[in-house]
Amino acid sequence: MRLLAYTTQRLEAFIAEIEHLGDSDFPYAHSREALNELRQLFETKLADLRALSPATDLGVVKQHCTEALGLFFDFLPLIGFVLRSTNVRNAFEMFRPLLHMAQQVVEPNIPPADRTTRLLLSSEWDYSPLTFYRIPHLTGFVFLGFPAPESGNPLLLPLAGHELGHTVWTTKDFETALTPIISQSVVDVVTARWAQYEILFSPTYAKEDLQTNMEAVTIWQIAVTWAISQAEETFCDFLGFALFGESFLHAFSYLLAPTLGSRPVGYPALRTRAERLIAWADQKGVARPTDYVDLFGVDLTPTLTPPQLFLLGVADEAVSRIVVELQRRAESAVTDAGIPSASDGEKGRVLQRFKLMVPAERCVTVADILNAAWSAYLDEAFWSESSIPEGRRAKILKDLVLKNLEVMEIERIQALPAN
Amino acid sequence: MAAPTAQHVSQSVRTRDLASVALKAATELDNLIRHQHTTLDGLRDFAEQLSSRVVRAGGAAPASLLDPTTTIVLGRAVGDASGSLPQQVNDVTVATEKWIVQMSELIKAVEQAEDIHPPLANLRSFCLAVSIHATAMSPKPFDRPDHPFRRLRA
Repeated sequence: MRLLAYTTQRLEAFIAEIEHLGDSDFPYAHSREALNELRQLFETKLADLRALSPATDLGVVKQHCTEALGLFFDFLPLIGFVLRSTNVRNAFEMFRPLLHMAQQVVEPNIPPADRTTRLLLSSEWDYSPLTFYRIPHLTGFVFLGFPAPESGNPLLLPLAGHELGHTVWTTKDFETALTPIISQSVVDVVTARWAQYEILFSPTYAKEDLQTNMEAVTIWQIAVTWAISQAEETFCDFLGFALFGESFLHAFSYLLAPTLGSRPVGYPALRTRAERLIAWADQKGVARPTDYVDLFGVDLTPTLTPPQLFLLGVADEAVSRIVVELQRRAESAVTDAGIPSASDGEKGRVLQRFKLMVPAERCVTVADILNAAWSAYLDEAFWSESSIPEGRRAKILKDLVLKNLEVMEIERIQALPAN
Repeated sequence: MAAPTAQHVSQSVRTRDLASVALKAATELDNLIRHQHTTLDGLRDFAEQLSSRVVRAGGAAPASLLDPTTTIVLGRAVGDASGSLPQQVNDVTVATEKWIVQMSELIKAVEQAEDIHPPLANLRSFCLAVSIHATAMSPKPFDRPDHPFRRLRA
C-alpha cells in the first residue's frame, strides 16, 4: 500500500538523520541522551507499521500513518534543537546553574544525587525564550532555548525561570487541578454575560444548561482552553519572579517591551502580565522600577470574530479570578525546592565585588548574582571611575557574571562529599 | 484484573496521549478480528484512561467541568458510533460507560479463554473514532502564529 510505504520511508529517513546527528560533538551528555530516546521512539513507530498487514483495517492503517505524520511535525524541531545545543554560541557557564535549579524545582523530594532531570540549552532562531516540555517519550528532559543574539547574555538567565515554570506546571499537573476551577469560572462569567452570549450564539438552551448541554460545552470549552494556557503563562511569570526577584522583571522588560501590537489568545496581554508582576513585587516588598508598567504598550485586540472576542474576554476574566492561587503555587514550588530567597544584603555584597571587577565568593543563590548584575547594568555611573570605555562595560559585566556562575559551580563541586 | 469502572477523577486529558492509546486499542481489536495473536494491553490501558475521565452519573461535577476537551472528543466518538451526536453531557457519560463495560467483558473473556461476544468491529470503530477526534483536537504546528514572511502550509 502506497500510504504505508511513504510513511515507512519517511520514518527510515528520520532515523537515519538522527543517527547522523549522533556524530556531532556534544558539550554535555544530555543532548546525546535525548537523541537516543528520539531514535527509540521512531524505531518503535516503524516497528508498529511493519507489524501491520495488507489485511489490516484501512482506517487503522490510516490512523497509524496520521500518528506518524504528527510525530514528524512534533519532533523535527526538537531534533534541530538538539543540534543547536552543540553551538558554541551558547553560554555553557549557564548550563550547570540552570540544571541544578531545574532539578530542584522539578524533583524537590528527590535527594540531589538521585535526581534525573536533564537539561538541553540552545540558541534559537525564534525571538523569544522558549521551552519544549511535556514531550512524550522525553519525560524528564527540559529544553530551554534563548534567542540566538542573546544566548550568551547571562542577564537574561532569569527568563529561564519562566520556562522552567512550564515543566513545573506539567510535573505537578496543575492543569488537572485547575481545569475544574477555570471551567466553573468560565461558566459563571458566561452566565453573567448571558445577554451578550444570546446575541452572539443564538443558543437553543437556557443558561442553566451551560454545563450539561453538549452544544454549549463545545462553545465555552474554547474559552477554557485559552484560559488554561493564560493561567500557565501567568504561573510561569510568577515562578520566574519567585526564583529571581527583580532581575526577572528587568530581563522580562528588556526582551519583550513594549509590545508586539496584539496578543496571542493563549497569553495575557503583556501589560497585564507586567501589572500582575508589579502588584506581587509590591506585596512582597521587592524593589522595582517605578515606571515599570509604562515600559509596556497596550496590546491591541487580535483580529477575532465577535464570538471569539467574547470568549477571549471570558477567558481573561476567568484567569483574573485565580491570580492569587497561581502566586501561591509559584511560591510553594520554590519553597518546596529549597531554593533560598534572594536578599538585598547578598545582592549588595556581590555588587561590591563587581565594583572591584572580581566575582563574588560563596554566593547563596544565582538570583543574588543576577540581581547585582542588573543593578550594575542599570547604573550609568557603575565603573565610571575606571578606565574601561563606556561602550565595553556591558560586555565586561556579562563576562564577570558568567565567571561568577562558574565560581559558584566550582565551590558547589568542592563542597560535595569526597567519594 | 478488576474490570474498570467509571469513577470520579478530575484528570485532564492529554488529547494526543488519548489518541495514541485509543489507536493501540483499535489495532489490537483489528488483530483479534483477523484472528492474529495480540495482547490487549492497549485496550486495558484505554479502558482505564476512559474510566478515569468519566464521572459516575448523579455524582459530583459533570464531566464538562472536569475535562471539557475529553467530553467533546468522547461526544463526537459516541456520535460516530450511534449515528447522532449526543445532546447532553450525561448521554456522553452513559454511552462511554457502556463502551467501557464492553471492553472489560472482552478483556475478561480473552483472559479466561471464553467465547467472545462483544461486537469487535463496532468496538474497533469506537476506539478508532476516539483516536481520530482526539488527534483533531490536539494542538497543531499550524496553530502557531504564522510568520509574516512564511507560509507553513504545503
